Parts: sequence; structure tokens; C-alpha cells
Amino acid sequence: MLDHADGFDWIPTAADDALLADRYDLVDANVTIDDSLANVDWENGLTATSSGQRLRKVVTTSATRITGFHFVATSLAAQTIFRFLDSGTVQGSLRLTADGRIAAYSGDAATLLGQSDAGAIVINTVYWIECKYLVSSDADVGFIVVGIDDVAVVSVRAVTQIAGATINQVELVADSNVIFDDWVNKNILGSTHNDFGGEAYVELTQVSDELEYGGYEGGSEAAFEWVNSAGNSLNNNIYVDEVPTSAPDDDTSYVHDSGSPGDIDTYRASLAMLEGTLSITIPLSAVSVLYRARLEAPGSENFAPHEFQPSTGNRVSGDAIADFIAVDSDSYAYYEAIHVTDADGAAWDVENYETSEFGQESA
Amino acid sequence: MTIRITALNPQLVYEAGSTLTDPEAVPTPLPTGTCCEFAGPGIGDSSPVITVTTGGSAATDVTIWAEGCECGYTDIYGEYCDVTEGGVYPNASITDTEYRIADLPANSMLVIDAVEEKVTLTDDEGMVQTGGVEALEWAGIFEWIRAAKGGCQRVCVDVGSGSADVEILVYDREW
Repeated sequence: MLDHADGFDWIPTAADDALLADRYDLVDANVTIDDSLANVDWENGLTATSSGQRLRKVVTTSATRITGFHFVATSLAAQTIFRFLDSGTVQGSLRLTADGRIAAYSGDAATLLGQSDAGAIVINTVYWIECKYLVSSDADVGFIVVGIDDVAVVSVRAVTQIAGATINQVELVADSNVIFDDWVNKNILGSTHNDFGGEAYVELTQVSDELEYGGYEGGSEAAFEWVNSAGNSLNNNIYVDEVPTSAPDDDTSYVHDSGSPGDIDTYRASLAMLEGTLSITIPLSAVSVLYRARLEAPGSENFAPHEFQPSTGNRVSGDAIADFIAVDSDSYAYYEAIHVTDADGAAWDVENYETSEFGQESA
Repeated sequence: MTIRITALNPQLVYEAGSTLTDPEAVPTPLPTGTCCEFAGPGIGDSSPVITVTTGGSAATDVTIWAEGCECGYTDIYGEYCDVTEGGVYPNASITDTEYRIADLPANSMLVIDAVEEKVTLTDDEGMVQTGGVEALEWAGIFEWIRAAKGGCQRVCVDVGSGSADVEILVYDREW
């Protein structure tokens, strides 16, 4: 199951890097965004202004997890770049070395399990690094596999358990000489997106200003059941269609649920990428919908991610897509719902993405 | 409790597909010997074909032996029990029927075919060594095969350290 994907393009500029704290569970002070348009895939990437800067995400608990990210080093030095953790204790880690290796360890660089050849990482070159880690105290069961550009450079069974028997946190470790992008994280639960996926791109889009697609008249308009910040339910799409090339407008324009369970808002999505000019030819694999939301008063409340395909009339909601989303703060934060198929249960492609609507249902 | 949503941005996740795979599973270790009863109508009427396959790690002290062997039995190769005429070896009469195959490297396969009286070792590079009855390096195995064929009830395989998959098939002897 794909449970986290981030291309970092939802953060407008390096100056807006404080927004990372609205989405991540631990953000060291000097983590920042590289928006120089000179990195990775010519969009935002993650970097830092000093060494050892962590960006940590709590993920679904699983003994086996897969992570992948684009990686660029502008100079070579010995440094940790990634960690799998169990409630704060490092189970396994990846390090860059001064001679251009990627080295795999159990623990926080505690026991070397394997490493690539020297020179595998050349400065100012973009690589896709993917790593699968199975936590076990049995040397015949636990393993780590590290791939660079889909070539295995480490593949070994070993004792991989330092703390508990699972992983529930992942973290990138940034420094001023490294840039990360297109970070995806998976567990082995579910029937799809549960293994190595190969090179990935995570590209941000926005809600379209159009209400209808083709002949599917009324598809969007009929779904406006939340109330917008103007006090009506007309054209709700324009209240959530923020283009994150500037800071979010938060309480300036928004929609809120009417207080009636089952109220649905869905919006057409645009295919246009908001950042960059990359021409992507590999398959569309999933849609990760990123919500910026808050409670209007302290407490806790759920909403269900919702997806609608007007051409067939099919809808899916709630845990048929992902878990219900619990909003537990009256400050804005980001919440993610990953759709691995369209509302008809079909694999994604450009066509069914363009005709789909994404939104939410009040619980 | 009212939820306010100010922005919704789909992220498109593209994936190229991967050829990476998990490391090869380590075969389940054999805690004590794996044994198989001879299925023939009488002692000495069956012959085993034993296959020992290692995975990602080597297996050491791989040993085969026969149990419940009857002495005084003579087959076309002659007499092979030379201890107590007419007696029966104690169960697990390893002293006289054990043969230590040696260590098997990772990703190798050893086939001891007592039916065809042929031994084949495919090593981790896919090279195949085949020995007939006269092959000097496997002479000990063939002595063992003859003994086992000569009148034993069970054949067993054990891996001292490391691990391997063991398969024992028993064929009725065709006289």
C-alpha cells in the first residue's frame, strides 16, 4: 500500500518551508526547500542549510517497508541520508560515503549490511534510490535491498531488528550538499503498490476552474453540498483551487461541512503540473490528494476522502480509498488520501484522471 | 464539529516499474535428519534418489546415512554388510552407513541417484560435475549407495550447519 508521496511542490518557495511542519511529524530547524529550478526534475526538492537535518513522517506500521526518492549530491561526504524507525529508534539506515557509495546499515549506521561500489554516486547527477527493509531478529528472514536506478547494489539477508519488530516512521536526512525529490513510501499491505515500484515522479496539480468535463453535465455542480466562505454552495471549486505558487490563503477562501453527515463536495482536477516542465512518459500509478484543513474549534472530527467518476456515476468514499481522515487541530495542517484506482476500480491513466472528481464527504 | 478545507491538490504519482526482487529466501534448516522409509516390499527392495539444494548460504557437514540395515544381504554387487552376519544394525547405525558428503556451496544442488547410480553436483556457477560408479571423487558415496540398496529400511539426510532443502524419493527396485 502506498501511504505517502511527496514531490515537495506544494510548498511555494524556500521561504515557505515552515509549511513542512503542517505535514510532517518532525522537521529539524534547518530543513528547507530547494526551489532553484536547477535540481532533480526542475521543481522543488528538499535540502537543508546544515548537516543531519531530519524530515520525519509517521507511516502505517509494518515489518516491511519500501521507500524511494530521487537523489542528487552536489558534493560527496560521509553522511546519513535516510532512516527507517520504530517509534524513534532507528531500525535501518542508508549512508552516502565520501567515495560515492550508498551503504546500508542496520541501526543508525551501527552494522554495515552491504554497500554499492565506489563511484556509484557521481556529483550533480540525478539517481533514483529505492530501498526495501524487512525487520527481523532472524538472520535468515530479515533483509535489505537497495537499488540505484533499478539496479540492486545491496541485497542481503541479515538481522535487521534493533527495536520493536516493525517500522512506523521514515525520515530523510538532509544537508546542504544533497537534494531529495519525489519521495514515496509503501508497506506490503494491500494488493497493489506493495513492492518495488521503480523510478517515480510526484507531480502537483490543482482543482480545475471548470465545473464539468465533456458531456458529463452537472457532475461537479450537483456535488456541492458543503458551504463556502461566502456563505453559499455555488462554485465551491474556486474556494479550494489554490495554486501553491504563493502561500495558502487559509481562512480567506475555503469550504466547510454543513454539519450534516454525508454531505459531499467533489471537484474536477486539472492535469497541468503546477511546477516544472518535465515530460513524463512513465505510467500514472496513483493519485495522492492533499487536503489543507482545520477544525473550526478545538476537538477532533473525521471526514472521508471521496472520488466520483461522472461518466459512470460510480463513487467511492472513506476507507474504500484510504482511511478516514481525522482532523484534530484548529490550526491548518495537510492530510493525504491516496487513490490507487479510479472510482470504477480501474488503474489510473491520463484519461480517467481527467474525468474524475476528487473531494470529501462529511462524517 | 466543523471542518474547514482551504485547499485540495491532487498529486500525480507516476511509477516506471521495477525489476528489483527480494533476496533469495534461505531454506528452512533441518533440525535433525530428514528421513524417508524405503517403500519396497522388503528390505533392500527400494532405492533412493536424494536431492540436496542450498539457497543463498552454504550448507556444511551434509551427511547421509541409512537406518535399519540388514546384514548378510547380497545383491549384484556382493556383500556390503560386514559386521554381524545375519544381524540387524541398531536403528541409526551411522557408524557403518554414514557418509559425509562434505560442504555444499550456496546455490548448489547435489543429486545422489541410487537408481541410476549417478551423482551430480551443480555448483553455484551452474557447472555440473557428474560421476559414475568409477568416479574416484564419489567412490565413497557409491559405496554408501550400494550399502543402502543392499538392505536398509530408511535413508536420512542431515545438514550440520547452514541449511538446505532436502528431497528424498524412493523407487522400488526392479529385479
